Amino acid sequence: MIVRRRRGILRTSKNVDIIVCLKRVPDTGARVEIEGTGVREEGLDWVLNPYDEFGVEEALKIKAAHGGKVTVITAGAPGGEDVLRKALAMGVDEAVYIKDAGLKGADDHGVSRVLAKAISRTPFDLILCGKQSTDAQAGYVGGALAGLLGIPLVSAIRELKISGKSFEAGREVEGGVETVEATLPAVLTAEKGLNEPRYPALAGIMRAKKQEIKYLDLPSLGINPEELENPLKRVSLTYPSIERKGKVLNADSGSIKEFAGFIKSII
Amino acid sequence: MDFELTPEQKLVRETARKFADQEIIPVARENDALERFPWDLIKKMAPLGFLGATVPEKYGGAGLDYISDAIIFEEVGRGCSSLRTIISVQVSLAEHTILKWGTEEQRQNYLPKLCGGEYLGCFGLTEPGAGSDPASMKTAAARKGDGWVLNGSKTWISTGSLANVAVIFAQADPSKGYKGITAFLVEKGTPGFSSRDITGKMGLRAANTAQLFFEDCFIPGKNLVGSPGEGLKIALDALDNGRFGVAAGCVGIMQGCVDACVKYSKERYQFGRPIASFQLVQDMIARMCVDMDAARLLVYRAGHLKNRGVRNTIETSMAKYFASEAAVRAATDAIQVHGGYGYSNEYPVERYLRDAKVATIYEGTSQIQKLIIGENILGVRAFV
Ligand SMILES: Cc1cc2nc3c(=O)[nH]c(=O)nc-3n(C[C@H](O)[C@H](O)[C@H](O)COP(=O)(O)OP(=O)(O)OC[C@H]3O[C@@H](n4cnc5c(N)ncnc54)[C@H](O)[C@@H]3O)c2cc1C
Ligand SMILES: Cc1cc2nc3c(=O)[nH]c(=O)nc-3n(C[C@H](O)[C@H](O)[C@H](O)COP(=O)(O)OP(=O)(O)OC[C@H]3O[C@@H](n4cnc5c(N)ncnc54)[C@H](O)[C@@H]3O)c2cc1C
Repeated sequence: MIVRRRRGILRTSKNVDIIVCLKRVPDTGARVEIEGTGVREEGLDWVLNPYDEFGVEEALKIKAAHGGKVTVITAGAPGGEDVLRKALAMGVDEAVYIKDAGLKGADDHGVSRVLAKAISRTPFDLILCGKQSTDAQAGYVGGALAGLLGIPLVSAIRELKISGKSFEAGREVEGGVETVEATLPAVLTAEKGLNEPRYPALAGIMRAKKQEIKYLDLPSLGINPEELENPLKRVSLTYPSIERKGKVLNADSGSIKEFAGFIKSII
Repeated sequence: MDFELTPEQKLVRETARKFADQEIIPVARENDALERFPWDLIKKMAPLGFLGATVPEKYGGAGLDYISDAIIFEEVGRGCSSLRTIISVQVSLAEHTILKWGTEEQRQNYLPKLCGGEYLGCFGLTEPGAGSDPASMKTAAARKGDGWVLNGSKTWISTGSLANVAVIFAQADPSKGYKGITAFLVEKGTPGFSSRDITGKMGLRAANTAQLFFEDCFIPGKNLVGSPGEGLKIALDALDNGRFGVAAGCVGIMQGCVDACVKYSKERYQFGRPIASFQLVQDMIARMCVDMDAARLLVYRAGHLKNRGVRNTIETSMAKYFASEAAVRAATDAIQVHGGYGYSNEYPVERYLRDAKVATIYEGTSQIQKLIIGENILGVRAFV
């Protein structure tokens, strides 16, 4: 039996339909070159944001346990296909790419609005995001989506238990684990440790090659690119300053105790 | 010409690389030291599709192209050459022989089991008296009823004691010389078929290598591969596949050498400076990198020809000859860069040398590769 589900309507199926938001980021091993107030994109190796990968893995685990459909979505200018194909190869059901040159200058809020617009058109029970991207590290999109869609947010989760319409999520907090309970639909953002993402099997890679990606653009979502004006402006981007501080331990000047204390502090 | 990998090939690399880093490398040293066959890794590789990458999906493989195949062999080879040898034999020699020359019944019977890791395969060509010159093999196949009876022995057969199915070459008609050589599938447990492990190997210590014995061993007619007399052709064709995987595996060894040397030379201080800053050390690492890239490009060229279905014996020989010799050079220098520490198995570089060496010997020695290449360029055959 196919049950059509909409947000807010009592569900008769225990399936959990999940949307996972993906971002393409430069490989953390890459040597990043600053160009103006951005980074030079040519020649970079791009990967799926590792935190989003935890999101994909979690979605696949939930699907295996509860049934449902997993859809991945990304928004941006070129190159998003690679991260969508990776998620398809891992086993997600559908991939949506909001591909529009108008997204080039959009900031986190603009991207969140575009994603929210696209997501609000599909029935879902759960949205999973990475807790942040490894490049800009703003940690913005998950929270903004929850706000724009008017649903709860639990950020940086390391544990998740779903039963029926409610769930329990564990978050790591200073010195312990906080457990929160809420009902679906909700936005959850994934922290490292939530799971161990699977490697796409070769058969999955071949299957993903044949799967279709669904393309959307700003006009089809009824968004005018000019509305995506950034309220924030990046003023500058600089390399971190490297400070090398050596400490000279002099046999005559310090006591053995001080020396031992120092060694202990660094090991 | 396009030097970019396709998105699928990049994903294959990502999967293979992660598998090598997370699963193979952590156990490679111990498997080598204890001469322990990597059963658990084989079990883990099967669902990922590594045991049948280039076999069509309908026979249980992944249906990938040969560049992807090279990427898998390279990454597995970077982790452990014993394991790379096991999958070379499984995929390139056993599965591809059955795929190309086997009957439909043989394909359906064996390929899903081999690709799925339920079966291991081996390839028995070499004999005590016939190595570089396989045409001189003595193992005899005599017709009996609707089948054949094998008598003789094979040696240096990778996975020989463990394989559930062996591709075996035997002389069915000595009067015809090499045109009498015929290929068969022999199942483990067939009466008259036995094996004995070869121990004390310099390298490939986690892989199984064995002598095989056939004493009045009856093989049903349905286990004939190809036609009687086609055996040597089948064997040489299989080696075109096998050598490709060996070459790619050697690129992996070189990558392992480069990675180890870059890390070590920056951390190791002598004369108050990292040894990476010494020109003579940079000389070794630079040569290693150039050799590695050259070998990888030769492998990719051969893979490109395979993808197009073009004959590639010479190009594959070139890749195998160059990559295996370059891997020995790279591993020798990698030990040198590591100084005394490189001489111990605390670091992987001494294993790289022991494992690289065999690649200049098996699937045709470097001398034999040069004779194949020489004949091609000179038009004069140096051996019969
Ligand atoms: C670890 C390991 C695994 C192996 N796995 C397999 C396997 O799975 N299946 C299989 O069938 N075989 C396997 N082999 C066997 C391998 O293919 C042979 O060792 C190889 O072909 C060389 O044969 P040989 O050892 O008899 O050496 P020989 O042929 O005796 O050669 C000795 C030397 O003479 C040189 N030589 C020989 N003929 C000529 C010539 N005409 N001109 C110039 N030089 C020449 C050779 O290059 C070599 O340097 C394996 C070997 C090893 C070591
Ligand atoms: C089995 C064995 C037995 C040994 N027995 C003894 C013993 O009985 N007594 C003893 O005292 N020692 C012994 N040694 C130690 C041996 O002498 C040292 O390993 C050797 O001197 C190299 O030093 P190292 O290993 O620290 O390498 P390193 O000095 O760290 O050298 C690493 C690499 O850097 C290169 N390098 C270093 N400096 C320079 C430079 N300025 N310019 C260019 N290249 C440079 C080296 O050539 C080498 O390739 C033994 C070593 C082994 C492996």
